[in-house]
Amino acid sequence: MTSETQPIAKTPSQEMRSQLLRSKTFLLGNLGVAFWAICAIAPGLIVNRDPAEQNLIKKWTHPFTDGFVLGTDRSGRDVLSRAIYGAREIMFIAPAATILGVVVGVMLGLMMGYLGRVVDDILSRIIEALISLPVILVALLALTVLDAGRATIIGVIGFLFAPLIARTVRAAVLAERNLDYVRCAELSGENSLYVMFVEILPNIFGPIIVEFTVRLGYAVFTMAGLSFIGFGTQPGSPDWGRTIFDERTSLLSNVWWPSIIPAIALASLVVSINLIADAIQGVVDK
Amino acid sequence: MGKINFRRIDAIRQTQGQIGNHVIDEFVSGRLSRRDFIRRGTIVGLSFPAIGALIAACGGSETSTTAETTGAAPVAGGTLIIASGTPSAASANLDPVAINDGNGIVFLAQYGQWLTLSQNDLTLAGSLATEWVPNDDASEWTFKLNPAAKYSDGSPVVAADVVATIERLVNPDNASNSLSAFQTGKLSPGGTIAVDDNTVMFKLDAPMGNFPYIVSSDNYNAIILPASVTDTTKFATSNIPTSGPFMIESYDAVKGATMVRNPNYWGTAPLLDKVEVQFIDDLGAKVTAFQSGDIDVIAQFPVIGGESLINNPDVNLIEIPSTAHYQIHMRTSKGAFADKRARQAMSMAIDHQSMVDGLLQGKAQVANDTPFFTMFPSSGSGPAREFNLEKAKALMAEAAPDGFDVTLYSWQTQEIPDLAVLVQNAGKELGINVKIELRDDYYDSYWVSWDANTPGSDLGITDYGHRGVPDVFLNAPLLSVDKGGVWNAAEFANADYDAAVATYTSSVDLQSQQAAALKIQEILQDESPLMIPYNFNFMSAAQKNISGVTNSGMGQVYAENASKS
Repeated sequence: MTSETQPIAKTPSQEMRSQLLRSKTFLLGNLGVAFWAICAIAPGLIVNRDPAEQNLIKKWTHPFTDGFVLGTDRSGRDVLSRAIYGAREIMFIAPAATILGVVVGVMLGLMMGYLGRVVDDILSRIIEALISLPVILVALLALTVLDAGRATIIGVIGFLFAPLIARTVRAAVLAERNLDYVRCAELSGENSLYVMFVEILPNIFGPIIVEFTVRLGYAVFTMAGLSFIGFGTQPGSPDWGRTIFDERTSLLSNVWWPSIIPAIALASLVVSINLIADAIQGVVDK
Repeated sequence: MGKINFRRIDAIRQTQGQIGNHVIDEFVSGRLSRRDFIRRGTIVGLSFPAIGALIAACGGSETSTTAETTGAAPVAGGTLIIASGTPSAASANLDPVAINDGNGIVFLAQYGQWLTLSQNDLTLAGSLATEWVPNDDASEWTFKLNPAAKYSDGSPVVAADVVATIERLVNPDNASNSLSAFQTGKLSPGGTIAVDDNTVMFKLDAPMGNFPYIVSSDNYNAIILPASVTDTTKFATSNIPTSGPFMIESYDAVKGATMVRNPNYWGTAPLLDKVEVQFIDDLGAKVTAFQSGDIDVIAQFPVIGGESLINNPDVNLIEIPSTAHYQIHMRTSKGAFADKRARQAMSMAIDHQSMVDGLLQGKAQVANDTPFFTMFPSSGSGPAREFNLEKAKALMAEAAPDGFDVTLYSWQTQEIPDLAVLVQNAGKELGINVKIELRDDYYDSYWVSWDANTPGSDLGITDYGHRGVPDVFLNAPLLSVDKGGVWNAAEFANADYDAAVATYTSSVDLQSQQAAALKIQEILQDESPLMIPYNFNFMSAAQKNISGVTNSGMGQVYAENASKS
């Protein structure tokens, strides 16, 4: 007895996954992010020097000299170790802040798009006002008034990203709210919360994922910018933004490695995240 | 020392008081080196011609303590552009009573003048005063004013002006920045007396051997202003007459200021038409502006970040050994460092020499956790602070075997962030977890605990400017609060120390000062309220086409003899 096997049609999400896994930009981006994630979680696997260990007489040792692959900074600290350990803070704060922003933004966007009318009008005006404020300035103000600890930075970045995400989600909800499956759910007596979070939310997951990856890149930049101007990190911390600030005057003496290496690390992380965002956007748009 | 001409010495002796003759005795007997004699002589009012004559009478050659500046041939006219940081809030209106930072001091040197001038070799020179003499126990000092001195409006500088200026500065109601300096100088309200138009007497509360420094450029707030001036709070825009070579033409609290030549200047007329001060806070921006030729002088820069200036042959580097330093206080009265052994351990865990060699590239001198720097003759040969990590760990094992957490407070300037990290790493060796907080409000809240709203700090770094004598460093930051320790961040209270400082302050000869200094150094190293790892050189930079600019360790930039070719 023989049986004929029929090709099974892929679900949209399976098709999306399949396309992403075939995308070189997606894989390359993930490779970059995975590398920095490993650096953040287990830096000791990659380097064995303490990033805080000072050796003042080895100030500004050139790369590939005296066993320092990427040289030393002005305090004789190993630049490679500092670049690897420097991923820790940013790889924790940026995703945490982005997740917070997405959670709050999705809730607001669902409410604005689905409930409409007065709720939409009021929230839209508030969000427009918030969006008009430059992120870094508001963050500066907030961190000056509040204690500039990790939790505050996550809260501030998340709060400032939430309105941007809410607008995107609102637009996606508006496109969905008059479709048949939403009407069916309403006619079958489901309450608004159920319709928003169980019916609509899974169908706007694509734009949310795109928004998450885009905002993650911005969060990395915002965090680096804040630490560059001295917020959220202690002096001597290997954080990339802080290190670029601390070592920037070395450039005037043609000593490039203490500041350029963390800048390259920062750029590589942001480019990796953006590659992922571009790949997802391309698949979602198809 | 060659053959001594006693007849010539006796002739000079007759013009001196008891203290002046004591200094001469010490030099003639060989107890004072020539350098120390010049310095002590200027303090007690011996004139440079008299000092030169005495050195010659003792077999040396007459000498001058001033150094000739070299550079391009002087050219009249032009504007000198100085880059400096934005003055602090207290200094923002250039009120001479309130100025409290180096950025404000840059201005005072252009239009202000003091009774005496503290020079870079730690000698004193006359400025508005031509001579000064103490009474027999140095509790009264009489200053003669230069009769030629006058203000920018043409009126003469008289004793009444000195009285009005100093009384304003010693008045506790005026929030004077120099109150602590005058407390150190034992001068109280009512103690400044005009003897005649050209003679001022200071009646002190107690003898004070180094008093002429208290009215010198070291006490930068003490520029002399006309007696008619009653309000200095809007100084920058008030057109108040001043006696210096330049006067304010325009001032912008954000951008900077322009000063023009004083047409009635009583000294040698400046060559420059104008001096412009531009506020640039970022060191990188300052260096870039200098390299592009937009500015002529950088008033001060730190070694860290200033390497491109230090190593550049096209830069006229001005480097002055100074007594400027950072004090790292450890609170003695309560908190993490209340146990003396923890303070001693922390002090022993810091390698001063490697800080000087590495962090400061040799542009500093090792200090021993006391304000008696090697530059001060009165320091004598005090004990060196030992760097001994094993001993430090043993002390910590007794004081706090489980270690402790502590927050180090300070503010972001010069080398402070790097110094803070070094302290943090030293703490790590001892099991002390040091968290660093650099805050703009350090001086308002975390430096000294003035009251319940200002917590002070268990550990903090405070920057101190140059002084020609250690008196201010010994008094305000270390004396018991009820004895005048108004900047006592360590909350140090030690009766033996207070008594030793009183002895030091009232001593007028070097041997007595050195004896008291030794006692003070022993107490401070044992009690360890402060870590003072080094005193650093004052670094400034000028373009190669600039000549005649001179600086002081305190931060004054003198453009009186400057020219631009």
